[in-house]
Amino acid sequence: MGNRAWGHVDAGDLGRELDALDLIGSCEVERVLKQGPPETTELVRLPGAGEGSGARGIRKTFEGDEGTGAAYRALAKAQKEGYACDRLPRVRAVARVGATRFVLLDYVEGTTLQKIVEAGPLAPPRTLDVTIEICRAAEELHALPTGPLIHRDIKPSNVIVQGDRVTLIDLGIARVWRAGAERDTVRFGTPGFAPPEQYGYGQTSVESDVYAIGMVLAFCLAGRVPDSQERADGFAGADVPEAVRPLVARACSFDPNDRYATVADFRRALEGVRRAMGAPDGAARPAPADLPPTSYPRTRPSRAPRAARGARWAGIAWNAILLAWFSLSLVASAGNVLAPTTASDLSMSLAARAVQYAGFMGVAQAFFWLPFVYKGDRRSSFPLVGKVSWVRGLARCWGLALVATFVTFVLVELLAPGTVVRAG
Amino acid sequence: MEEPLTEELLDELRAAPSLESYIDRHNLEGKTLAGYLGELLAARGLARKDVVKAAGIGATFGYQIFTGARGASRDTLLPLAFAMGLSVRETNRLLKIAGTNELYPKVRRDAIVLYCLDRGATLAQANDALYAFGEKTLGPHGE
Repeated sequence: MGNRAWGHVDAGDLGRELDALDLIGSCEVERVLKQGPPETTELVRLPGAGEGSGARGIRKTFEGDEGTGAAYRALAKAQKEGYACDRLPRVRAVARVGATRFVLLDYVEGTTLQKIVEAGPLAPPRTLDVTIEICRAAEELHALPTGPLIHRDIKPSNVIVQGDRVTLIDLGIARVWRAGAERDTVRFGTPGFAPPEQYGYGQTSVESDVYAIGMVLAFCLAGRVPDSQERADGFAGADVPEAVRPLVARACSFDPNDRYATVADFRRALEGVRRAMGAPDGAARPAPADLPPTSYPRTRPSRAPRAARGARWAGIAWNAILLAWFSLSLVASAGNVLAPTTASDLSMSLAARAVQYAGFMGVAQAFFWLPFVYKGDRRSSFPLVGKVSWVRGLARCWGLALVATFVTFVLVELLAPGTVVRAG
Repeated sequence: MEEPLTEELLDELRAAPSLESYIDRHNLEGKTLAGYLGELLAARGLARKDVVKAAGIGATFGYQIFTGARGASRDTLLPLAFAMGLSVRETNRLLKIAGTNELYPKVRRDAIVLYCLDRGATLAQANDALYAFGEKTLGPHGE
């Protein structure tokens, strides 16, 4: 065929569409799962696949001008180009005929979260584990190389669970996030799980998926969808453990700007709470590696400055510089307290000088420990706005600084006896 | 427990997800081929003469179709669709009103025609594509 084209009709593209239509059309239907506008879903037998679990597929047909199902094409392209997304359905073929879209997917084995919770609410540790996996699935969607896909229909019946494996399905109303769009043009969603902006108040974005995941979490813990009153009460009465409540409340804030800015932020918060719970058998859980960080658009600019990424040695060198500067300041201050040289210092009593320099160092240490790089942060990037609590941070850097100062004192005294130790 | 369903969140045309399919379902009865063709011409500001010529149909035959004196088969209607630059939806409506089969994506030839219509190809370009893919071309001698 070659690279022939007739006007806007490209031979290669047409050939691929025809092949896709062929594949999709030749599937034998086992059962119709959902019928009706805008989507028809069928359980099919993949052609030439024989028997067994790998032989089944899901065929979806989307009718209507709203562009439902268009997200599958973007996902298919990304997967074909090697994008790793284990928690999303595998697309075998997509085709479009006018306003009708066809999609062929691998069948995902397992049970929906809806059915699992119908049998009884999940224990908090298990719920958090599943929710963390749902978060990772949403992150895979948001980090799609072709552009972030907002799922917009995250709910328990769209989450398939099999053992530890969680898959987020049904991208029927997912859409590509577009910069500058004021409102979604079409308002689809599921009541209870769709955030307020999906009803028409604004464009859906990653925070919309954060909201939906929060509601799924609350649903799993309570065994039902919490109503707006419970949400207003901060989920106090809704069987949500106290440690989880602020997380769910934040994720499900009415204003998208009050929620977690990204699904990754929500997930890390959940992981923190999960670690505190410990594994069912009491052992500490190892934390899996983060997805590579990507920048994806949000409804407003970042609240915290983004950490620049640098080599590990650079972080260590940076720390060393800060430490050296701080300890020198400490040495100088101590020196001025013990052996004052300036007139103003001389005029004060020892106690007064001590207080003065203590105050000075108290202020100076803030400039020291804020940009300090903590080894505990897995991202090992610098400089970093510390996420460690300020008390711990203070104790840490003071401890380090005192040790450094003491060592400096000793060294200086050894090298030039009499410099440090002087009659006060 | 009832499973919450995905649906339109504001209850506007709940029964039909799009205005177009609503029209499709309710407005097709009573339309004649000649009438619909006339509407399409008017909506696009096209002249019957030009359209008939571009479709490769004889002038007399074309006149008769547009006045309702004769019906038309797919053979004739598809070239007309290309000549008028119809969308996939309009073409299928046209075929349905004329009492012929709509374009069916599972039929390879139809799929190619649909693809070409969708991308605003001319009749000549569509026939080039059909020929290249080993399918019968459109036109009075085609189907």
